[in-house]
Amino acid sequence: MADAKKLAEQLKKLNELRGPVPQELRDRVAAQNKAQRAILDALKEGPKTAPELAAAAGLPHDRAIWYVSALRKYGKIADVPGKGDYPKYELKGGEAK
Amino acid sequence: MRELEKIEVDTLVVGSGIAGLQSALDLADQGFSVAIVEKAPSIGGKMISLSKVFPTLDCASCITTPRMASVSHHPRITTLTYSTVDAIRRDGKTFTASVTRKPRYIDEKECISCKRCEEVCPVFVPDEYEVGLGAKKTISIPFTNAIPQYPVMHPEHCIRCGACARACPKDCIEFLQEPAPVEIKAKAVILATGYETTPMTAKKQYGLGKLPNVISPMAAERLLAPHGPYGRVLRPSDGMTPGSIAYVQCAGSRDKSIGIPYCSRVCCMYAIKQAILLSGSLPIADITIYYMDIRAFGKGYEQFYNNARAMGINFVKAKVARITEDEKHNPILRIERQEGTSGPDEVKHELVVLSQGLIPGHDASAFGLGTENNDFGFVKLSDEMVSSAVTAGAGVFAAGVVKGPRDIPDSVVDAGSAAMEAASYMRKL
Amino acid sequence: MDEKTRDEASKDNFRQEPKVGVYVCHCGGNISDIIDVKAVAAALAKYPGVAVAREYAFMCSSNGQDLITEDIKNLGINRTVVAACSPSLHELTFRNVLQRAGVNPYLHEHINIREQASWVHKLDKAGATAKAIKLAQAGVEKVLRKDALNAIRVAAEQRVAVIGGGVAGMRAALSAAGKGLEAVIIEKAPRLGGKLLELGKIYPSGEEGAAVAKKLETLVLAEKKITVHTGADIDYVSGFVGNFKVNFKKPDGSSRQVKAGAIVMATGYEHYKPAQGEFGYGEDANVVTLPEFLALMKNSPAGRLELAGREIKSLALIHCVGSRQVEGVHKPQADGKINDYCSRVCCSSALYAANQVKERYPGVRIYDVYRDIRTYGMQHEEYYDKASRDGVLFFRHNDTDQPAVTSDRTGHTVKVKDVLTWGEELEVKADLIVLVTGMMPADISLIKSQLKLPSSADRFLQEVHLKLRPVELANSGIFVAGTAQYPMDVTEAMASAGTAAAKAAILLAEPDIPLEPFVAVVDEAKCTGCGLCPAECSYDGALMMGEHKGKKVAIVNPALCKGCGACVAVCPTRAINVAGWTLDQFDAMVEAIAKE
Repeated sequence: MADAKKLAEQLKKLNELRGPVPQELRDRVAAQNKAQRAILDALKEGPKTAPELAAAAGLPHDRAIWYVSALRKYGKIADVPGKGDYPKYELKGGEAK
Repeated sequence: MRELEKIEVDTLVVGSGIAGLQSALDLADQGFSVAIVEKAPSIGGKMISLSKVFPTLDCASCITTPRMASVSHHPRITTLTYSTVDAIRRDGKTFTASVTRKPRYIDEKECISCKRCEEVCPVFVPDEYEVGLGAKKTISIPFTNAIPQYPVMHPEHCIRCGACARACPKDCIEFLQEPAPVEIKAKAVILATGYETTPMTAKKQYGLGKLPNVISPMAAERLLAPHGPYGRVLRPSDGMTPGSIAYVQCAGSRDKSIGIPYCSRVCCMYAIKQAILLSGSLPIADITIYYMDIRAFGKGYEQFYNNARAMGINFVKAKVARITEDEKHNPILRIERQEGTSGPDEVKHELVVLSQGLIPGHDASAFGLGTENNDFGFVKLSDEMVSSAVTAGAGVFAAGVVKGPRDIPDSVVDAGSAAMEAASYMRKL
Repeated sequence: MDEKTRDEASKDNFRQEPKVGVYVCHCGGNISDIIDVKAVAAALAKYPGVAVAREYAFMCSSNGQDLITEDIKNLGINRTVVAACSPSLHELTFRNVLQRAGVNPYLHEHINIREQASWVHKLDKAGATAKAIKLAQAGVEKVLRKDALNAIRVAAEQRVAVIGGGVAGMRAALSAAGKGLEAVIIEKAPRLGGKLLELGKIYPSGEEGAAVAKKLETLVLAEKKITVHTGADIDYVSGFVGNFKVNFKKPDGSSRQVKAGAIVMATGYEHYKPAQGEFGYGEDANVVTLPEFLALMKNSPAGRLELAGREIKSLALIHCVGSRQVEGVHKPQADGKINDYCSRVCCSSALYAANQVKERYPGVRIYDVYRDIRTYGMQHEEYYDKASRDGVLFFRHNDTDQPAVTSDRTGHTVKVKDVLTWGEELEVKADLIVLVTGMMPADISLIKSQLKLPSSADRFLQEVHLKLRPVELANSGIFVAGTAQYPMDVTEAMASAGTAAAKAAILLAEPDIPLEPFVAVVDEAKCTGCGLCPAECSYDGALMMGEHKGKKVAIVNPALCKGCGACVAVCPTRAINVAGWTLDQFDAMVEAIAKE
């Protein structure tokens, strides 16, 4: 575990060297967090397809499938077995009803 | 800059794709010491990201990972990943390469590859390993089979929250890490810098990069790979299972208008292979390959092509003039048939793969070692009727696609002969 | 760890109580998409003798290998079972893992649950899983009964015998000699050069074939480490890795023998010879093959292309003669098989020849009848372009609509159903028909049968694995170079030959060669000296009757034994076993599989 003081010093030095974190990046991360939360919230109601998640989270379809891919990779959501044009996704660990 | 690290070996191999790995192994197994420099964070080159490989349909990982493991465990091979060769100087019979280890922003000696930094990092970025289709974190291990298994941090996407440093059990995150210089002395150099695919801007009328469901063959490989971005074949615009998929052949080869008149040798076969794999994972999908000539010229390739035809894959002799899309992002191909009914035609598919060609991955002449390029930027041999690896630069040899497009079997064979030429050269020094 | 301490360490492992580690590979999804790998690991974890069972995405990857190494270090695992792909792919990978970790590499069992379970039972997931469990359990039973083995080391001749003195043979000899090995080229023709000598100008350099051969020959003759025997008629090849013997007759009738540690098969190809009457070949003098045409062009005067004094004003090239043949359309060869492969070089050769015709005899009309133009090489597309620019007319047909040639007094007519004009039946008249013939392997049946060399369905020599071991034959110590393996052009033959030499150099890098220890072992106490087994042995000198402590018993020469097991089958007292594959092990495996 990092020493809190050492870490703080490093980050401070980093800010001096590179200037503050760009606003564009902060906004992007905020938008990412919002989109993820919206997708995970929507899945609490039950399994959904990528277009359904896009509608629920107010995202374009291609962004929704990108987030699905991200959340799948990091173990937050899983595929629902089955066939069909649009596969469904669910929360991992049976958090959905 | 950190302190200068010095390495002395018999042979320097630039590039760690299948050609680089194989030539390093073929030298090291004969008793020579080798240093491999790779610009990517992992060894393995393009091949490790492929799904399965023609004509035997072995999984690419099954063939590449053991090669990667042999290299990384070999007592006579040193690998430098995430490192660039900035210059190579020739002093008499010795080459001195100036190499920079790019900062991963972690202490590689301490890192235990536990992935905790990656788990807690809050920022997603497009994953270039998945050709943008998937996501990774700002600090992440490049891919499952990567060697070495060190995470890489991309400071331009870092919000400096410190979560990774707090999660790291070995305290090895180094936000202030700097590039480290390395000097490699060697008696011979093998260039194995491989290829890139033709840029997507080359054929603007095909819409690659603009139309979401027109994808590159590398992206298609990832869709088909066991650990791909979606875990199954879906199209990128909306996550739909495509029911109709088309391949456009020679999209970036045999085309003087984009300065690439040559045949890229691999595209017919990878398209056929992907079509076979697609029909395996999507049994009801319609798959069409639009082509000029099918070039299945290697051992077992014609039979592979015949199998694909017997499986019901449609081969249509036609030129594709341009690609547009409908409101649902279904690509529409304007084609000119060369058989059957005459004249132009419009056909709709749900996903299109552009069979891009191969261009040089690196300008080898920039090293200033006396090697020459051909008209298209590939390394020229001094006399290809006498040796398949000797370049115009004394002590400099070429392996694999650096000399021109070739497939995996041809590259593996080629690499062995490059190793042999280097061995003969060093023995005579 | 040096060899000796490693052997000691292995013995120590062996003395310890067996602790089996079982590792189930997902093989990406090749296995885990069908087989429930977690269930397999769980079932094996409970099996007697198993200390740990794990599953992982790619056991062969560095991470996967590390799992095993860690278990050896931390849990004292001293035998392993890996349930994964075919052992031909990765058994060696895992033996090396054990070796590195200080465990005898032969205390490993590789179980194939991919080809033998997941791939063949795609529609029965539960059944495939149950089968994988049974197979892995059998593997555990086997590995529990395994002995630590050590590779048999045999002294190797530091010499490479290269059979064939064409481009590939000369290149292989040059490369081997470059590394410091002695190389002996054994060529049946009176001089070096092979097929190159017959060809005219060849692509991509535009040199005469004979000139290219001369360049290589000069290098070969200047190399002290290379010995050349031309006019050599091979009559007997025998031996095994490290100790091959190639016997041949010299032109004067005397016999010679070359001893070699490795053999490079650079035996080349023959041009496909059209069947009597195939497109009129053999019946009409104006139907020739491409190599015959090249000779004809060489002998024609400047400004006038002629055959037997008659001027040729038009010619038709017909591609894929003897290549890409179609079942039911083409007549099979003598062995009953069609040539369904592409001969790779003929499209480029034909168009290169067409370019030459247009350069030397611009007035000659050329028609080109093809299925697909396969000018795949860097410069080859230019030959195609140039031909089009120079007015060569192309006709394209489908596989089932083969062109036909008819002849009468006015000349020859080629009929072709041309897809370029949407399937119209076209006829062109030509003075000469040139059949663009493919390649077939040279007849090496004698050597093949004596050394038991494998060939593929296309009759060319069969490599072990196109990507992992592309120039090695299954016979240890024998490598293939050039067109003996598959059609290729000069530049490609160079690469292949260089690599064959590299593999020979790796094999002979040390004075002795390790051989697999899977050879017959006689339990002298059980052997009754009945003498049944030597009669079954097909390897000269591998198994003979002899004496042991005054008793007549069977005696094995481990360097010659191939471990085929024929002797095991006839022994009435179970006194012979193949090491690593004993009858007790098989019994235990069968029992494990049959158990309810």
